[in-house]
Amino acid sequence: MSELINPNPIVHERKSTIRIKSDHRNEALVAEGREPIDALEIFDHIRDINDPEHPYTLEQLNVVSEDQIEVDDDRGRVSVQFTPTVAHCSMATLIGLSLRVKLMRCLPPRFKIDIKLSPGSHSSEAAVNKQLADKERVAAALENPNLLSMVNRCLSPPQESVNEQQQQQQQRNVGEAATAS
Amino acid sequence: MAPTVIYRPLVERACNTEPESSNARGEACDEIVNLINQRILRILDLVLLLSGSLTSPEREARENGTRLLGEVVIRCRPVFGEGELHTLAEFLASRLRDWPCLGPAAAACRSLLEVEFAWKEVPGPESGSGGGPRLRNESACLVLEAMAEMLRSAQSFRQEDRSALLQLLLVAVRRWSQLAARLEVPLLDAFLGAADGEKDPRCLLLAFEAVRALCEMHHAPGVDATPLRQLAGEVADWASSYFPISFNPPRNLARGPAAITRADLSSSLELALAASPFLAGGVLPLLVEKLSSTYRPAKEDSLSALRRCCPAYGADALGPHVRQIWLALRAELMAPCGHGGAAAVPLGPGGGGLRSEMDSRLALATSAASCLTALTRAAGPGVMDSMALQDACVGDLLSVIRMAGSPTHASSATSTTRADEQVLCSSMVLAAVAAAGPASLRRTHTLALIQVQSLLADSLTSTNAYSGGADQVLYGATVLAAVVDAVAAELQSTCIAGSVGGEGRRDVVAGTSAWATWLGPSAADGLAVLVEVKGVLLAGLAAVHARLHPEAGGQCDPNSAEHGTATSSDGYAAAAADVMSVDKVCPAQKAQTMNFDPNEGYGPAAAAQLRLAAVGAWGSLLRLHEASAAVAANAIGDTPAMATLQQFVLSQSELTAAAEHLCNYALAGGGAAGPQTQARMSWGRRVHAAQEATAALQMTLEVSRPRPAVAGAGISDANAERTPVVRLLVRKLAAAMASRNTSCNSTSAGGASGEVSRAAALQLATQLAQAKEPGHLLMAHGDVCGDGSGAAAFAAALLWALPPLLLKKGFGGGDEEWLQDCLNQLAACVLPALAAASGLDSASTTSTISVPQTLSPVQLALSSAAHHLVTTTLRAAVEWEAAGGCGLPFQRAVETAAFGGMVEAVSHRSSTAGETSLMAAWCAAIQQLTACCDNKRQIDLAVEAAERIATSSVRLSLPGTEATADPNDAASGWGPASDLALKASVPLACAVVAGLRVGVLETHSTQAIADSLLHLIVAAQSPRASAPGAYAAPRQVRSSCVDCALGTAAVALAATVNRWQDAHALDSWLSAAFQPELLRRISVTRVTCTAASVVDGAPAGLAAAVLEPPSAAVVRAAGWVGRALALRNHSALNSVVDALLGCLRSEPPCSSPITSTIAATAGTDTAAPRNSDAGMLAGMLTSGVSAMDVDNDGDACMDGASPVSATGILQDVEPHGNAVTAAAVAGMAAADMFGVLVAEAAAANGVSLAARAPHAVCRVLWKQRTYSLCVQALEAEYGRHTQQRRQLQDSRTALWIPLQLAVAMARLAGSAPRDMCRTDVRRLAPLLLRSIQSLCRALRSGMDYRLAEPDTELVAGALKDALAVLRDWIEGASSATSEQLRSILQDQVGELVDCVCAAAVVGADPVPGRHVQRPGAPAAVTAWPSSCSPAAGTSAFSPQALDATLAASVREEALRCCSGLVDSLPYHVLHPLRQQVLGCVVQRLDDNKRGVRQLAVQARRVWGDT
Repeated sequence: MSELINPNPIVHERKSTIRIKSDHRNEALVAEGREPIDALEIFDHIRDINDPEHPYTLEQLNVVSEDQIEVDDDRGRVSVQFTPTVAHCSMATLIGLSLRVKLMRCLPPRFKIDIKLSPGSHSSEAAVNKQLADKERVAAALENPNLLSMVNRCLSPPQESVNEQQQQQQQRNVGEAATAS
Repeated sequence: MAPTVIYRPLVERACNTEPESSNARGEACDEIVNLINQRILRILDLVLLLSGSLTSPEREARENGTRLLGEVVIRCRPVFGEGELHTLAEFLASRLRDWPCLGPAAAACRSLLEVEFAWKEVPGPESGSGGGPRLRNESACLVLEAMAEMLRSAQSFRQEDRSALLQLLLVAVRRWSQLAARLEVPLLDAFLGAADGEKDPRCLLLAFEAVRALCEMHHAPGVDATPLRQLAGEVADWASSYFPISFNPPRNLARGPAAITRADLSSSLELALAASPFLAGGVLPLLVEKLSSTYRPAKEDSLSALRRCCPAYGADALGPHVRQIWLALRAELMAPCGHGGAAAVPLGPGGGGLRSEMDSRLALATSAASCLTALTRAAGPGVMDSMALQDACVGDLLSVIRMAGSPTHASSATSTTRADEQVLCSSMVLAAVAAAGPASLRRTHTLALIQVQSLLADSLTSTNAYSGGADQVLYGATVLAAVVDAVAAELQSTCIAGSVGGEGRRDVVAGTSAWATWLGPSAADGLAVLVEVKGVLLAGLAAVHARLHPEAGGQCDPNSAEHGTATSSDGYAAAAADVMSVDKVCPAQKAQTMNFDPNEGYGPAAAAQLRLAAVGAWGSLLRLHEASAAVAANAIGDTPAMATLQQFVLSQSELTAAAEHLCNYALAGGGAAGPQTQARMSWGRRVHAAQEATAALQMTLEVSRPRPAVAGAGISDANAERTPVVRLLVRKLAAAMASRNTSCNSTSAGGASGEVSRAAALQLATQLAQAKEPGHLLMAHGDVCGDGSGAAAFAAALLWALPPLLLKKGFGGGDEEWLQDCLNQLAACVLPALAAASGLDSASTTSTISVPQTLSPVQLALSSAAHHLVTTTLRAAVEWEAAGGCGLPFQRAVETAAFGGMVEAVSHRSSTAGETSLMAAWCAAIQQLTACCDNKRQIDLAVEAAERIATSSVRLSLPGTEATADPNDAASGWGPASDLALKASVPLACAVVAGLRVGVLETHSTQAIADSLLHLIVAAQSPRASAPGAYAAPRQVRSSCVDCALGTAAVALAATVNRWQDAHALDSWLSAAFQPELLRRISVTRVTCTAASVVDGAPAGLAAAVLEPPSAAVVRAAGWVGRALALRNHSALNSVVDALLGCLRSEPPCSSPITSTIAATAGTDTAAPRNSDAGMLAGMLTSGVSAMDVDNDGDACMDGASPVSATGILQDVEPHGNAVTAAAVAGMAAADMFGVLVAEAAAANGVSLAARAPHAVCRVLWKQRTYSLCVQALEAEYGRHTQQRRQLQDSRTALWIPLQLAVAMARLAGSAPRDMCRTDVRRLAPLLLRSIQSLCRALRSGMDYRLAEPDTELVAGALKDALAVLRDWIEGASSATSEQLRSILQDQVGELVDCVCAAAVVGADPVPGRHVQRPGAPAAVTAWPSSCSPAAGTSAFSPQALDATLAASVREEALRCCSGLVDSLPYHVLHPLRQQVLGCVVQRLDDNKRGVRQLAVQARRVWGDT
């Protein structure tokens, strides 16, 4: 990669999110003792994916956000939309692939995962969406060792921030407990 | 000549510098030095011997010769005579010029020059005491000249030589400055030659020091300073070429003790720059220029250099540069302002960068402010300050404040922000100037502060409050508080510098000069101004408070005003009068201010800001108080300034007002849990209003009073002065805590805020009462005098105030939470901290009652308050019982309801959340309170408690009428009637006993208490015998009340046993009372009762009921006593452990009668013959040696064991049948007790017996001994079990550990110290792993085994413990050092993974229909088919009995183990297990609990990556 596609992206802060309340759809599940898989949980999985070309995470670049995630725990559906930093981003497919792989590794197998560009965010939106939704192409891409190693590099956790994450995790749990009571 | 020749080889050896002979060289050197010191060899001889090498044409030889000579000179300096010295000096001076010899020669010369001072002081030719004869002036002169000559060309030498030369120069300048000046040796010039272009950091440090020394030399009296004046420009140029220091230490210099840091260099350079006023002309422009640089370190360095240089240069040298410097500083001070605004920065994305930028600017501005203070002081009165005060920024400030007060004040967000910044920056300038000294303070006041004061007074006295008025008040208060704060800080530093008093700190000079500035004869005038400022601020604060809290203002202000007028010297009144004179308002109108119309309050946002500002202002006033008190304490003499200073001290009424205001603010802030507000006056940082107020309140409590030389007044006086403050605070807090619906916060009313304010009041009280370590307090606030006694006094008062709150009648529903919270806080935070801080613990560790203790008044107050609370509680409990009490304050509403029959509800409620019952909270609080009492009061309490216990135990043992009074209750066997004696007072009394210290009780009273406790525990079991046929009693009812009482009684008994002073008496008690009453009950009852059942010929179902197993309470009591004995390392522990083991074993026969009926109906004839053997053996094994036992159990077990063969191998022998039988419960209790035996701290129902010195007898290595004893016993038990199974040819179950043994194993390992478990891993690992398997198996099929619910919890808890140990091992194995641990884990990895996988599914709930069959489901989960793939396994176990949270925590622990394995064991070991683990982990991705899912993701990642 000789030249960066977006040489100067806007960097956003990592937010601390607190789960406030489960929405009404999941109340039945909560009643039977389950904490349903919700958008924030999905977001926690994908927020720290590294951008392929910058040393920032997808959250910092605002590529993914909690609002763009839809989950139905009961029926096993996840739909994630993401927004590349620039409209001609050639990394969109790689980002999408990383998202899909990460969610495949993190979610129970019963889930069906939809990864899409958010509408109007990319110049060749339809093509990328089609590519990302194509099971065969995704499987083939993961057979390719180069591509797989690139994906894995995106997914590798930042070593130094592991503790920090745990702390935040604890804080979030505390927050949950507070809201629960 | 002849005698010296023999030393030639020695000298040659000493000159040999071959690297391999360095040892020999050193020895030779030592020998020569010895010879010369003993005057066997003369130095002349040595020189002759060396003559060859000293004059050799070879440079190495010359160098070596000189080095030896130099070394000898250095080490034998005192023995040389005057002549010898002269010769040596002459010779070495000439050597200096020979450059290979330069280094050694310079070092030798240095030692020659060193002792010059001795000659001055002792004018004898031979002064042995002074360190040797003097060096003659002419010899010194030779050296100096040679040195100067060599210095000029020093840059061409090696680094070592340069630094040796510089060191020589330093010594020469310091020791021989007079001579050098007289001879006019051009040392400065020579130095500049040497230092020019120097780059080595080590040499630079020396060079900077040399500059200082040279300047000092030239400034010395009687020395001509002309050379310095001439060369000052060059010196400044040279030094400034290094400014600011840029230095990245190379790797060899970055470490080690001699490492040089950038900070070293730059501070050394600063000192060099500040060395002489002549340098000012060159240095100051440079600093000003660097200040405007964009490079941040340059700014920082130049600010710090300015701060140091300005006082050193003095007013004259500064004069021409003042304007320049002011402009530069002004730019720096104003930098945070007009930068787009920190306060305007939204908290959204992108705020982080700006925020840190802002912070760095602020730090620079603060630094610039302190620089301005130093500069103003240095430039003398009227120079810098007038320039600064006439600056536009001050005018701007005034106009901003004025504008804020005008009705046309536009309040858009940006303009407000801009105004805020303007005010903050300008107030920084004002404060900095004012802090410079009394004169500057006065000038600041006339030029600016007067107007600020009048504006503030205007806005507070005007009756119509619009929102702009709030801003004006805010600004005015901020400016004044900033000034007060700055002065306080100066005074404080003055005090510190004064008290350090010439102990080698360089700031001392500055400090003493500041001292003179502030306390000089002319200072009183300036200080009086500050008194006025303080008065205005106080009046303003009162007015603000009246507006913010109108309801409080009505009560308090007349009060304080009355106080204020009472004393004429009171600052408050005078200040109020000052305000009046300023703004020409008559006192009547002032009074009107106080009665401010409550309807015209500020808006909530403005109120919050004002509250913060007020807290800040109080904080600064308190700091001023502290500072002036400290100064007064250190000052000598009585100047007018001192008298003025006295007025800074806050008076009694002012302190009270402070406490009241701050308390209101803290409560209004909503407690520590309240929201953070963006404080406009601290640059928009988010601040916890309540926390700020609490910190200020803590300061209020700890403030001290200057004590003018009367030492006798002491602490009691301080207490007396503190009393009103403490009393006021306690009253307010108590009122707030008692209020249910009225709210302290005027801005928001309603029931919810009432709750909030109650919680906030509790939190505030807790924080205030938590005494900190004295040292810690010093660190936190910079208070010089705070010793934590204020917090203790407050706590004592609080404890006095608590009983009516805690024990009032007619509690409402909402009180429940608060009560629980309050008790928990008391027990967990306040009391332990108090006991530790007040030294009650440590004071009484060794003392017995006979030794009278001297307690401080604070301790006494605390102890009497605690005593009062305990006795009141005990009395209240008795009353409550007499009234047939249910519900609060001693029971929760839910618990009461349970008593009425809603058994199911309570069992779920109380067990799920793991929340402690209210009674447990009470017990814990009472125990801690008792621990806070002194010995005498403890005895009082003990007497009362003993009485309660004794009467209860007597009542219990007379079951007769009470138990059968009510048929319903009789049916349960544990109705309220029989419980009455155990309801509230007994647990509390037991808690008192548990809280006693070691050595309080005499032997006979100890015995009495122990007897009655034992009696109580045993008697509690007997009523059941009196109500036969009523075994249907649900266990849950018992759990609520009686278990609590018996649990505390057990702990109390243990505590008594543990603290028993007389060892013989203890032994005899153990053998006479404890063993027959309690221990034999555990092991013997079963036999007798089985016999009874046979005799009665009762049907099988009834037989189970008649069967008298030991109740869980008795077993637990035995366990607790075991812990007490274990702590003492007592030998009777063995018998306790044996008894507990017996209890573990006793289970299968007890369960047999019921299964016998099942078996009978099943009619399995074929199994009978074989199983009779099994039964025999089982009976023999389980019940010991009693023949009767075998006979009776033979029948039962013959049938009882039949399900084993009938249903196949999946079922274990012991858990079949009805496991709810009491024997199983007892067995479980016994198993649980193994954890209690070794734990560091164990508690039951809130009462604990911690292994801490003052509260328990605690021998060394008790844990180790107990642990190994228990492990041995359990291991032996397991061995016996295995052997038995082998004999039954039951190979499959031969290795299985019986459930209860497994629980015991897990609890033991989980409670023992982790280190011990790690060391013992070889023995423990197989046992623990099998225990885990057994536990998992039991939990998996909990339904089939019909485990009782509490037992399920116990099993799950034990499993969690065991997994924690496992995880510790796994984590330990990942470190490189633990080879053994790793190899053991490697050997057992298969079992390990099985365990972890089985534990990972504990309590997991496979919702039917949710699990879609996965195409790629791993097939390798064959090891535990039913556990690892519930989708396939049909036996969906029911987790209803298991608490979801506990189960989830077990799963989490298992998954953590899983992830840890990857790091600690090599991959080739793990690979075969990968499919199994992944299969298990993938399932957990869909767990019900989020925490488990997250850990599963992590585990999958690490296992997937490998």
